Amino acid sequence: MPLLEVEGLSVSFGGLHALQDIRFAVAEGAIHGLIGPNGAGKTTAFNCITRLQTPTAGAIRFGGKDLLKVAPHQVVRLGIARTFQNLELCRNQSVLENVMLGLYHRVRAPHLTYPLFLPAARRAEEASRQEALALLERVGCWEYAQAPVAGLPYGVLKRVEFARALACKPRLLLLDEPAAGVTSGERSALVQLIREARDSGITVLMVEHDISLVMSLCDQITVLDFGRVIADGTPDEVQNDPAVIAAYLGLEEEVDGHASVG
Amino acid sequence: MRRYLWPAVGFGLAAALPFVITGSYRHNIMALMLVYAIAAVGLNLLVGIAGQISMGHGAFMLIGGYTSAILTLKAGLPLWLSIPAAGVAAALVGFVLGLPALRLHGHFLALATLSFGVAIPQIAMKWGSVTGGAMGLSPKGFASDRIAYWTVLGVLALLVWVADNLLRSRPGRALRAVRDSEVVALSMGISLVWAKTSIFALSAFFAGVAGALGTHLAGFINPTDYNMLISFQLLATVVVGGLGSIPGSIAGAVLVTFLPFAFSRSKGWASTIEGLAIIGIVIFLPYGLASLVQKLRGVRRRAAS
Amino acid sequence: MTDFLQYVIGGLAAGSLYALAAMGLTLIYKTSEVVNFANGEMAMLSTFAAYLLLTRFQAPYWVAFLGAMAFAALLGILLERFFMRPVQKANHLNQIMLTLGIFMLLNGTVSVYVYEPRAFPRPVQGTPYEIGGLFVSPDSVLIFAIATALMLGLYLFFKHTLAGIALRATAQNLITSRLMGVPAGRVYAITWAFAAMLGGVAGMLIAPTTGLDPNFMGDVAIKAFAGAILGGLGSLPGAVAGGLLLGVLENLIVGYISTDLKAVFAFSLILLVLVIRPQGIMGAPVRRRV
Repeated sequence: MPLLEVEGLSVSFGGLHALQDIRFAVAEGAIHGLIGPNGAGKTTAFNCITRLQTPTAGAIRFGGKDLLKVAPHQVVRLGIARTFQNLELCRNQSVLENVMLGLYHRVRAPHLTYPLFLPAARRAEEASRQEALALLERVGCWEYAQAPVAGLPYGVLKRVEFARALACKPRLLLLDEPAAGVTSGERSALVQLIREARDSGITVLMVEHDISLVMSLCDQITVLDFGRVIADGTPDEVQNDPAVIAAYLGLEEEVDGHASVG
Repeated sequence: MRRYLWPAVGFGLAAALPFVITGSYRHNIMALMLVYAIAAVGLNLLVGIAGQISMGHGAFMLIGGYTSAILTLKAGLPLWLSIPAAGVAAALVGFVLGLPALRLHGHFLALATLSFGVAIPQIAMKWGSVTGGAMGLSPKGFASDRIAYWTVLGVLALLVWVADNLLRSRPGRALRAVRDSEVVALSMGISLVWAKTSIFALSAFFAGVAGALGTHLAGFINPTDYNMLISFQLLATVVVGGLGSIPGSIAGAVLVTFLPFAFSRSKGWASTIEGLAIIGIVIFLPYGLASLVQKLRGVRRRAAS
Repeated sequence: MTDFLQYVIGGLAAGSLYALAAMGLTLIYKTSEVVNFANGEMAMLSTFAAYLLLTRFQAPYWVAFLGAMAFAALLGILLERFFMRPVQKANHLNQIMLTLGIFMLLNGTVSVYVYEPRAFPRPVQGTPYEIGGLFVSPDSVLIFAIATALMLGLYLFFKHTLAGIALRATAQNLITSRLMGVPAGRVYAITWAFAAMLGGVAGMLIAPTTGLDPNFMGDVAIKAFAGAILGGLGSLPGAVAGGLLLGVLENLIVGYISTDLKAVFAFSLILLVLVIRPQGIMGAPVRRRV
């Protein structure tokens, strides 16, 4: 059974159809890519999966469970974590504090122990700290632990956000444009991290514009255009799909000897 | 443990102050400054840390004050019971106010809390049977102004300690997440419903306790106490002192409370100066006096190296 | 039935005042997305300017009125230029705080000199007219007429004049408007001048009833917020509709239920509208982007 199933997903507001009848499935343990030109609806799909947005129609199932019945703040407890296109980190906090936020739903003491900082709360805090530090080390950012987020290089922050998502101990990791705006050195580091995550048992669904990255990393790719699925298959299949080529290139053009449809 | 060094020194000095500055009247004013410090710290948790806004916070002080007055007058409760009870009463109302706050942000939340702040004194005025109407209530005060000062100081120390505990641990992280990005907060498993209602309740608790202490300090309460101007002043205190800075709120409260007494001839001057101070801070030092302290520390460090 | 109509008429009179005050608020919000909590105090100060002209200089009413308008315009322009402009890009809280600072500054300054309420004359004296058993005072008619005229004037201004369109454009998209050559600075200055003048008119019409002291606009200011929200923050016709509706509803409650509830009414109304339908009757939907 696939870990994530999306069926008939549609989102429209005021006559605008952001998503129309989207259908795809993410196999457990796979790295699955979601690509498409700008405005194709990729982030909207993500938002629906993480329940930040409610679709107008359709179904989403996670591990067989109906995800649409779940409230946005409960999504992470089911095992879905995500990173954001715009790197939503707390700018005035330290890197460590940001990563510890990922542990919020997992490592905690009873509520009433915190106002008086009773030993149970202290223990939970220390455990969170240690685990967050370990994660930072894993992503290669251990030395930045105490530094405030504001002012750190973009590539470092990308990895910090990745660490925060890992801190949630997800079964499914949603990455929103993980390679956007990073140097090639950072890019390889991120690819490595994604592979390691998958090897440790995490399923990855990523939205990405970097086609070569997607082709080399992903087992399965779903292609969106104007809110619809236009292709779904292995990198090879998708690469040679005329509809995909048309969507990306738009006009009549000769590509590798195959005439494409305009 | 080193974390508590400077606060301990500070509170120690503050405790010794009544021996240096003598006179019942002065002790009363000093106690009043600390009363507002408690309310300011509570408001700072709501505004500076959780990123919400409350323009009618004085109303919670009023609720606390009346609750304690009524409990001591009509139920004969001792102060050490009635004051926490006052905090709880205010917290309950705060919790309820937090519910509509869930759907409101920015200006809209400001207006909602503003109207709350205006309505509560009017209810106090009209609900004569319970609140004594325009006459108000005259509950028993403290044994002496000096004792009042030490009591308020003790409560301030305790509540500041609690606030600090919350801020540097898991609850503080949750609140800051709510402030910085609600989307992230949700993604990390933080329930906005619980976060916002809880922080409104906690912030109201502080204000309720402060109001109760202030009422017993003054020996009376009536509906014109803790009015809109006080609500505005509290907000000003928090912004001027520095959003998110507990020491800033305490210092701000002391300063702001001091002003009317420095200008004892006219409250108008105090308001004018406060207004100018707020305007100045917002334009030139948006992160409050605490940020100035931080900058100076940075300068000193650089000069030393 | 006569009772009901009498309450409505009384309510319309009060509501017109709320509407005037609400229009000023809405104007500023419409162009700079700032809720000006100092609006009432600006009105108060302008009314005091009129008072000075009336008493110190023995000026006739219409001179005092014009003088107050000039003062209000100048006040609005100065406040905008030197206090609001620097914080244009700041977050909501800081902008709100700034207007609060202006509130305290204006209130405080006047409080230094004024301890007791002063009497302020009505624009139009005279006995109430009687129409079919209902009583309408002449200045109520005047107030209502002024409010309606101003609303129509502003509405036409925004819809059909180039200046009005420029103001709206600035509110919707500052950068694009500037690129199109709209002088944003002048837009804001004009807006604040207008809003201050509207407030001044409201103040001069309210003061005869409440007496003139530094806090006389306080109650009306709250009602103005309520009216503006009810009608839809950012909508001028909404501000008028909201203000009038608030006045009428308030008066009906006083008449039929009790004066005691009047106090809580505006508050409950604000809360209700904000929670159920934040855009009010005529405002644009408030949508939050994820």
